Amino acid sequence: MNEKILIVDDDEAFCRLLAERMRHRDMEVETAVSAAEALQLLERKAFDAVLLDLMMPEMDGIEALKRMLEKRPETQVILLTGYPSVSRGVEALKLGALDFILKPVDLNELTEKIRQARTGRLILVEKKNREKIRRILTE
Amino acid sequence: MATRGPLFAPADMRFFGQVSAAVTHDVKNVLAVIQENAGLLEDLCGMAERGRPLDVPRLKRIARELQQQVGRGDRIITSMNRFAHSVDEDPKAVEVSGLLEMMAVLSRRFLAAKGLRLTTVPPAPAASVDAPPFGLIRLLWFCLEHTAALGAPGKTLELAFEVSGAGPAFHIRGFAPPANGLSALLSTESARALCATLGATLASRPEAGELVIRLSPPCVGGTGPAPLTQPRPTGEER
Repeated sequence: MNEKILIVDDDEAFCRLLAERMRHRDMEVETAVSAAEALQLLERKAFDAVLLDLMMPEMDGIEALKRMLEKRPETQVILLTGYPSVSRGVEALKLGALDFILKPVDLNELTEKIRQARTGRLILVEKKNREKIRRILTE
Repeated sequence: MATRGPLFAPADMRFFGQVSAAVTHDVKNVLAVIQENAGLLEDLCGMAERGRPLDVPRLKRIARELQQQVGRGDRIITSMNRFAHSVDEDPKAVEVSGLLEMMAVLSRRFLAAKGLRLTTVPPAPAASVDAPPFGLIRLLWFCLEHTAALGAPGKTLELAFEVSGAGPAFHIRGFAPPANGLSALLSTESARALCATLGATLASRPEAGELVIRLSPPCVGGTGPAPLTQPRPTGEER
């Protein structure tokens, strides 16, 4: 099964180009140019990984990350940033981000992180399902 | 140097740092798009090597996009260069069209964070004002920052330069008129200090969502000494 990825970045050209390259690598990719649009997409669909720009207009990456994890706690978010700042990095990781990746993006590195994200998500989903079954059985 | 010395307070350094850092993010974004285009070319070459014919119109689009990104990067770096030089220049004739272009480029990220954009209305190409460049940028930024905080019904602020009988002035338009006018802003110590550096006055026409940054009359056209006079009273303009 192909990895399902959501790219969230206010730079439309960046989203479009990265999406095209990822599709060449057999990934299923959707894009959003704002955090609000991304949250709407997450409402109706789960992704193996969300690539989220840290610096976006109106709602920045940290706020978007919080809302995404509220909506779908198993979401694996990889933050995209030009410059990693220690304080923001720590904050994002504490909030539940999987990792950071620097712009300009190294696609091999990103692909590796996406694989990790997918594995991480599958483990969380399975755990959640097991808990659900256990609850049903005990009830 | 005496005219520049008092400008370099900690707040000035913070301002310079914030703007410079924001610009580097914009440059990174340009590089990121160039990198993706280069990666795409690599992908297309790889596909061609495996027997898929090269899509020439696609290649042309990539070339066009690369040129656009180089243009975007060039505008950002030119503005950053102008901004960087503003701190090492004495009062001089500041060319207004270039100044407005620089303000638009440098403030893009800051305004976008508030869901706003800036349009500029440049004057005739030769228009200039005699002023300490950094002081002028600081004052314009200060005014943009405070008017942007009020929000803008049309999501766009306008920065214009006009010369009337009252002299040359920058105008910021389009912000949401605050219920109690702009008196609080106009009378702050920061506003007074920034105006003092330039001999400028701030006046507002709140009902029109307009802030006027008026410069001393002799400073248009690139002749005459820099008008470093005492601050004039600031207030609401009806």
